[in-house]
Amino acid sequence: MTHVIVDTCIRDGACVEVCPVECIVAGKPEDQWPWFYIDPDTCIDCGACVPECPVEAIFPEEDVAEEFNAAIAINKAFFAEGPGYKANET
Amino acid sequence: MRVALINPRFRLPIDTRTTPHLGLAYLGAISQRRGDEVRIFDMDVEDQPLGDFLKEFSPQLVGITANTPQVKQAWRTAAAIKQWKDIPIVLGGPHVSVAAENLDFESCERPDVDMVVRGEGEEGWIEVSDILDRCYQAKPDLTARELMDPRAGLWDKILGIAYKTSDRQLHRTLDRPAIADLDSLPWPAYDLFKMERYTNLQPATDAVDGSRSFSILTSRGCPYRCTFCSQSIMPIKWRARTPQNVIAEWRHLVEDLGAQEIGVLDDSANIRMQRLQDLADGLIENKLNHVPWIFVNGIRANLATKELMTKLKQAGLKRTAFGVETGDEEILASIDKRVDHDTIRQAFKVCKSAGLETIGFFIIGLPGETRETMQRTIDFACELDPLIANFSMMTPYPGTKVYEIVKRQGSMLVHDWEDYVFFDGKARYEMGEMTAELVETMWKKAYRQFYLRPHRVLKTITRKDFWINYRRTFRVAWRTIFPRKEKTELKRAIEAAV
Repeated sequence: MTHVIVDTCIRDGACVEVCPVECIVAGKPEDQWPWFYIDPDTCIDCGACVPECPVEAIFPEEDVAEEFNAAIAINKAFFAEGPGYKANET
Repeated sequence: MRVALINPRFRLPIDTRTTPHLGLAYLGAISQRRGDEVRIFDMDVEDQPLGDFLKEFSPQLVGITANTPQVKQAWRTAAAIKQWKDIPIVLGGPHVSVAAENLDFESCERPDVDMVVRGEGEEGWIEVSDILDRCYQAKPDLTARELMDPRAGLWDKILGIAYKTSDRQLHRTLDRPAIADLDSLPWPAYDLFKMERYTNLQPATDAVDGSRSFSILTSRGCPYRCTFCSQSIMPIKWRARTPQNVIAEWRHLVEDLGAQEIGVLDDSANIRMQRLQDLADGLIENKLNHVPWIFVNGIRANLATKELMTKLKQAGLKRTAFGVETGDEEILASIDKRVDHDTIRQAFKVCKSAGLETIGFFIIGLPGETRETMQRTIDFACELDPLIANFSMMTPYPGTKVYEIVKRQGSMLVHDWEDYVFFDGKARYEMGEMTAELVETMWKKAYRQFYLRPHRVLKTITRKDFWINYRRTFRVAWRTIFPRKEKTELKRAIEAAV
């Protein structure tokens, strides 16, 4: 189980501060990865990030609305194929 | 500066085990590092009268810890100290940390309490000590009244405190951020305790009481926000010590202090599974795995994989607890535990197959419960069949979501902080159709149904420690059946008599 950030994310960053396993990463380069992303292999599903999000853009995977379904694969892809944690270093 | 740290006597209706207070052990260590002369006076095991201790040591600063059922004892202790001398008295601990319910001010309003340090105390305590030390160096005979003079303005820059100035005005500063680097803290100062006077926290071995049992914290906090849990008053950020730092302390406990068993007191030790794997590897490599250890407060069932639990067993883990809480799916969802029953079943299975003993923590009387849901909890406990099942009566502690729910929709049955204990067979509130009588009946049934199954009776009486500790075992059983009268009950009896 994991949480997922959807495309209404405004890159506020409050979620990063509270994540106890530091698995939320700001997408870079921004034009290619415009949101923040959650690593599904590391997320412990604690939900700490949910109340922090000012625009309610974080959901448990099973509660993601159909219109945002693509976000599940995009969060995964950011870590599997995209820069993943390396984005923190740039 | 001479600093006294006091654990007030814990008046409980039943007999419990005594263990050195880890919070005071950390504060003692950090005060020692500051250069203070420190004494810990634990009234649970102390036979010296408080007055004699004060005259002998003559402290210049006193810190008193208090959880909810202890807080009135803390006030009484503060009053006794002030009768001796007007020195600054600071309260800390979980109860006074609930600023949302003004419980910091509740203590500051007491005539004998000068200040409260909320939340994690170490950094605030040191800042208070630094200021006092400077003041005493300038004028050694300063009284608390002079130190709390509003014109001095000594305290308003310290985060996470509440205090009362000598004009009786109450003040509260902003919350202090959680300590980010736990490795920066010194190890708990066990040298300040009379270790031979404590029982072990939760007997993991057949060693008799008085065995050298120590506690350790490898991480602090919990990112989950279960509605019944007082952890919700602490910062949501979970923080961990590095495995290297933990192993160094572990070695100190085993090799320098002769620990025969170790209790890990983390609230959520397995948040980062890799960290625990690394810690286990370190314990094995450093040959520290011969001393048995246990997770006293439970770990997350959703993060207890077979690989992790097998490795921990190799590292000396003997027993682990899990907060199961309820056997009813809907109640489980309502308490924000973020786990399901199949995951819990799997965690118990994994632990048993790894050769680990298990403890299940269960709650009877959560908001919304019925006879049927409580029965499901008892049945689930029997299905999981841990070595120890602990059934707690739901006690709404201030600062928790359940406390808010009960205040709004139910009625509290306890009206004295000293009665806020959860293992005493008395319902603490009623809500909707959930009466006290029903909850108390189901709580008793839970213990009977779980422990009086023939194979359980056999398992219990064939355990060596049951017979080694038989005096204490029967004393605890007696007190559980015939508890001391509670304050609320005593008050009612006095009122009826009058």
